[in-house]
Amino acid sequence: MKQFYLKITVWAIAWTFTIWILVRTMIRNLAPLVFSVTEDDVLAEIFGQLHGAVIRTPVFFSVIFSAASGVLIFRRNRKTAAYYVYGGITAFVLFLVSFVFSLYFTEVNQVLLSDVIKVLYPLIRSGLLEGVL
Amino acid sequence: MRRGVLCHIHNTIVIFILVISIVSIISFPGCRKVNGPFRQSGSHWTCGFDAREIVPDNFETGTYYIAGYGVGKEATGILDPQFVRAVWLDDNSGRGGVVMVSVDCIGLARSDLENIRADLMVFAAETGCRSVNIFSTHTHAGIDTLGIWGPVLRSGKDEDFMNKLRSETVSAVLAAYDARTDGELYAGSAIIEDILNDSRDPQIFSRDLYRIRFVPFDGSCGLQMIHFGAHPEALRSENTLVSADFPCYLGRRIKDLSGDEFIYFNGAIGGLINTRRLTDENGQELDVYASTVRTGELLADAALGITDEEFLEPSLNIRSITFNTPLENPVFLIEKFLGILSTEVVRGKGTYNRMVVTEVSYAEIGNLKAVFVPGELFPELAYRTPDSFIGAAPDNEGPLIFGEIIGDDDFLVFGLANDEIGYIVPPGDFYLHDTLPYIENGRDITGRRHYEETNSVGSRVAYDLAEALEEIMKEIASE
Repeated sequence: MKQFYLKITVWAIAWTFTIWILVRTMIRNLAPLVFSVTEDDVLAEIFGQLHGAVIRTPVFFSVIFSAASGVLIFRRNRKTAAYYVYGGITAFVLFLVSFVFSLYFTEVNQVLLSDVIKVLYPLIRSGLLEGVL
Repeated sequence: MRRGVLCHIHNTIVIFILVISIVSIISFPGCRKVNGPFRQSGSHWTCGFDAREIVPDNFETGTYYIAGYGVGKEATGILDPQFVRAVWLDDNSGRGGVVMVSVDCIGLARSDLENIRADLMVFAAETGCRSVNIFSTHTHAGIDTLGIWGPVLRSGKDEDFMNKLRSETVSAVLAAYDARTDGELYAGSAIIEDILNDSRDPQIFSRDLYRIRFVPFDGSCGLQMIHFGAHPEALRSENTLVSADFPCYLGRRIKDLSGDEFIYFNGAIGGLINTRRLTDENGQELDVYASTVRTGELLADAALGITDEEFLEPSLNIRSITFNTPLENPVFLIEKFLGILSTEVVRGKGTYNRMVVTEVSYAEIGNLKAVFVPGELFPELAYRTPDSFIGAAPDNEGPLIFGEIIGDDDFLVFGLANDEIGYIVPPGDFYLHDTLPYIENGRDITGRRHYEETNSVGSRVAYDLAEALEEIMKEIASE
């Protein structure tokens, strides 16, 4: 039983740390991705600021979520195909949720990225900024 | 017995922690130190002055942007160098001196100013300096110090220039203190006709040019502190040369004709007070350079012609307060995000849950009352607006005007003091563009253009500023 909890703890810490690294690396390097998708200089410049961003990864959420998934995974003794599919989905959902949360709460120079996107997105989409920039 | 001793030790520790906590809270930099009553006086004035050039050493090879009009306008040369000027003023009441610095620039954000104050902390501790106040002349021909006049999405601020500005300001303050001498202070004013222009109704602005003159007992050269409310933009938008604009020529003439040193402070210049393009004796418009020089010289002549001077009692009283106001301007928000603007913000109320942190001060120099305002104040907020004027948002009841708060109609507004947060617009005339608020100029039903709103933090600033000033005045009244 003790070994079971130890496994879950190690699993949760390892996952949280991996997610933490992945999310931060991805957010800090979003600018080229955004530019390749949108070809918009303004958005690329905005996302370029994320190099120096304060990124708040929801560590508590990651720990709880990965520990819960750890319980489900380590309770099974037989490693079936469904087990791997389940593990993959868990990892993806955990990453996606952490990424979205982190992005939402990412702050650059005391300003939330989500606020900047909320301001700029409708303006860029409607073309209203074309005559201004 | 042993339990009693332990209990006593425990209580002592709790009391000790409580005392330490209270002392820490009181001595936190955000709290104001109050040394006795607000109004105190000494036996005589002590004043020191120094001025230093702040043009970058690598100006010829570097790229610098002119601040004030369009973005990305590179400076092509120097018409006259930008200066930082510092005054040390002490009423010898035993409370320590006050530093007043004026920088030839468009404006300084509070964070840059706090860096300078931090550099002066040792100086303040050694000399007993009780207040450091930094003003900007708001020249529209200076190198960008706010960052918003660089190429689109890029800061126009140059780090080396900002570092030089910072170090030269500190040096000027130290030198002003070292150059201090005892003397008397006089104040007088002149009414300036036919120079000022108000581009936005109502036509409310101060036509007074004030001069506070220091006369040393030892007969050495004195100091003329000039206060006048107008945008230094006589060089207009086509100019690409670095200049302090008309205050430079005002100062030069004062020095040439009187031998006195000079420092310039701006007034309530919002909405939008500037100087007219002057004409020659045939009525032909002078070119902008000649007009700028002439404007400065006319103002100098008015200052030198002041005859109604009054002796100012050696009593310098100042009280400051920091306050927060919601950041509603999305352009400022994005500029802040991009690191272009270094305006200080904290979490709080407003559209984006961000508040700009700034400060206001009330001062009395002898019997001269003054409010130090952190931006470009619409004069309507300081003085009365005629009842006949109906603004674009008449339903918005405005805050108390400064005259009502101070309880006196005779006072000076020192603009761009200890921060530059942009225009401070009366709520009753605050009007935004329908689809691009804060980005494009709004036009109200009468066709009036509302440009200043695009360069303002938001619609709440006037209220928050007035409330902060009221708090100072209540505090003073309660002493």
